Amino acid sequence: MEERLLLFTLAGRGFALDLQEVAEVMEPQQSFPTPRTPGHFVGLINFHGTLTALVDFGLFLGLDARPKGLGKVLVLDTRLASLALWVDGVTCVLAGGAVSGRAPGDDDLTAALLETEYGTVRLLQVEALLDALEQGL
Amino acid sequence: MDMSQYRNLFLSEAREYLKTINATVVALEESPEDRPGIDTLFRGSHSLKGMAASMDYADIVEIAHAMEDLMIRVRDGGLPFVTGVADLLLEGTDLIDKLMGEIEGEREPRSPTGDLPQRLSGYTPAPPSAAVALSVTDPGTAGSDSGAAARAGSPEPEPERAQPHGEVERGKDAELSTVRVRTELLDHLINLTGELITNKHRLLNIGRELGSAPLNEAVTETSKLLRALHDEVMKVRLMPFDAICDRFQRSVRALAKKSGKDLHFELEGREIGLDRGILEGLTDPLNHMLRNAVGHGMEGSAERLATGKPAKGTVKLSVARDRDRVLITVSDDGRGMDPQQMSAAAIRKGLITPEEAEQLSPRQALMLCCIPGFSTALEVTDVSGRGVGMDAVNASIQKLGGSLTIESEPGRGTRFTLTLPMTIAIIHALIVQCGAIKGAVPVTAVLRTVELRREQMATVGKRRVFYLDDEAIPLLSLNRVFGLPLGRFPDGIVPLFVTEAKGRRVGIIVDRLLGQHELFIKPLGRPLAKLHGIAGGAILGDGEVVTLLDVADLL
Repeated sequence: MEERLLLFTLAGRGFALDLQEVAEVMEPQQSFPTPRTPGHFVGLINFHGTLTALVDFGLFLGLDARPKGLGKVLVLDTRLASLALWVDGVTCVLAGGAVSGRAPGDDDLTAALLETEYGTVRLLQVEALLDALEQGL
Repeated sequence: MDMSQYRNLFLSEAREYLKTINATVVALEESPEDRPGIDTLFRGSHSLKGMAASMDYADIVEIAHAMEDLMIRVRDGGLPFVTGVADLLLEGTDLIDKLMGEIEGEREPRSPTGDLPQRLSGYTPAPPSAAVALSVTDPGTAGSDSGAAARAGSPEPEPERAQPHGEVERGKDAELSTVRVRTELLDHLINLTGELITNKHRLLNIGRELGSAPLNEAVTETSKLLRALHDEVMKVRLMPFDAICDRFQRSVRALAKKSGKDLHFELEGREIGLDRGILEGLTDPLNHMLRNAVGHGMEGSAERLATGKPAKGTVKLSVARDRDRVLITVSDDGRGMDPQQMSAAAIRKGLITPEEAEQLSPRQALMLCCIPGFSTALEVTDVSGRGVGMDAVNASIQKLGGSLTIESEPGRGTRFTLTLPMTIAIIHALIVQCGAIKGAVPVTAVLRTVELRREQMATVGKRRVFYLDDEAIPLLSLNRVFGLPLGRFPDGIVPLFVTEAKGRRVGIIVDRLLGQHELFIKPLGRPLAKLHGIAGGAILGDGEVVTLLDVADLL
């Protein structure tokens, strides 16, 4: 099956996740704070009965904060993690064939730098992201 | 023919046989003449051989066949059931278990059977002078069967044992009235029940808001049905304690042998049922306590005789039901623990001050062994490590919603008692609030709640305390633990709950006590599962999410 990517933005920069790693895109919803977590852990949300950690991905990456209440929430596949990323917006779902260039990632979280009609986007490595979030706890 | 679909069934059934064989071997060492036990070992090996043969697992067939040969010699050939026989049989079950692990993991067989089949089949006991006290020959068997010795060298193929008619019928009935269910399905059932209970609380809230009597009545009726459903589902999930006993028998036997201690291991209450999740979490803590009992608690025979005790010590693991709780005790009749020595050791190590030691009751002094880094072990042994780890044991028990108490008398022995809920998925918890955070503390971890007036607080040394039953209870702020601003309490009333941490009672100040709730606990998954002090979460009836606090871990 052809690779499909979910493109999203944070502080004007482009990012991508393999669509298979995303369970749902949601509007921001009420979350409940958890103790002893770094500031980028916004709290827990109830995702169809699964307790899911909501992470402000911009804050985690040290990028500019978005206005409160705006943006989208990307819930990762529950088989991978109980994690949702709060991002600025979703651009589109892009077929892998529409990627015109691919370079190796330049940091631990980035699997590859992809050239698309929306500019250069960072394809995220979910496993590395989870490791980084766990190490910060 | 594709046999893979039968593989899991084979593995599951074969493991049951291995468990029975292991338990029987250990029991037979205590009573080597026990004929039913000898028959059980023979039948177990024989059945394993047959099952493995039907699956074409040649290595397992070879070992089981040799075990069966050895047991024929014990049963019919007058070979005494000595330690050497027990060792070989256990070596056989270990190797079969290893081979089964390779089958399960679909790996290439990497565990050679070596010369074990030959050692099993050709076993010759050591000369009588070297034999240990357990080597008791069954005189009746040895003397009455003149052909036994001849058969011992070349065992005949064993016919199926004829079962009494009634036994066969009972077996058939049991087969027809039971069904094997995958554990995942049971987990799913309890999840669904938990969700229903969460929704029940939601409906109760709506009923209260609407002030609708018929709705409240219907929800109350549904609550009763849900309680019944929950109880039934929990019963299905219960597994007998026996499921994890095998490894304890083996472990105690091996440790006693290694440390040269002569002891008797008693196991009681194997049939008591516990939730699968709790059983899984109990194995390591219990193993650790048993290792401590053998390694540190139990004296050597000479020391025991010198103090007027029987040469052979006793280590006992017993399980009993107490309403909806389970009590597990690990006891020994060894040298015991001295509260004064425990306090002195804790002062020496800088874990407590002499003033704090004076405040401790004997029971609290014994609990000092649960403080990380505490050890009164006279020497480090490879049997029980460095005597550390009771802190980990205590933390594990509290994680399971249980508690640990220690009783001991110097020279008479020690008894560790674990009090555990029968289930962990649905618990009763005290909800507390600190700032914007709502947390749940299992009621099993709450000794009591207190609303303290400021003037009831005192200062001892550098610590804020309050007095409960004439004991100075140190106070800690949960807000501080969470890194939140401290509560202000303008009305002068300070809410707190008393819990036990590191063997001592401690008062935990919170912003508000919100009452007790029935909660369906859910795991947090990655990444928050790594968060220390948080054991899961739950959804309240109004949709709010609370985190389950593991107070011992937090402090």
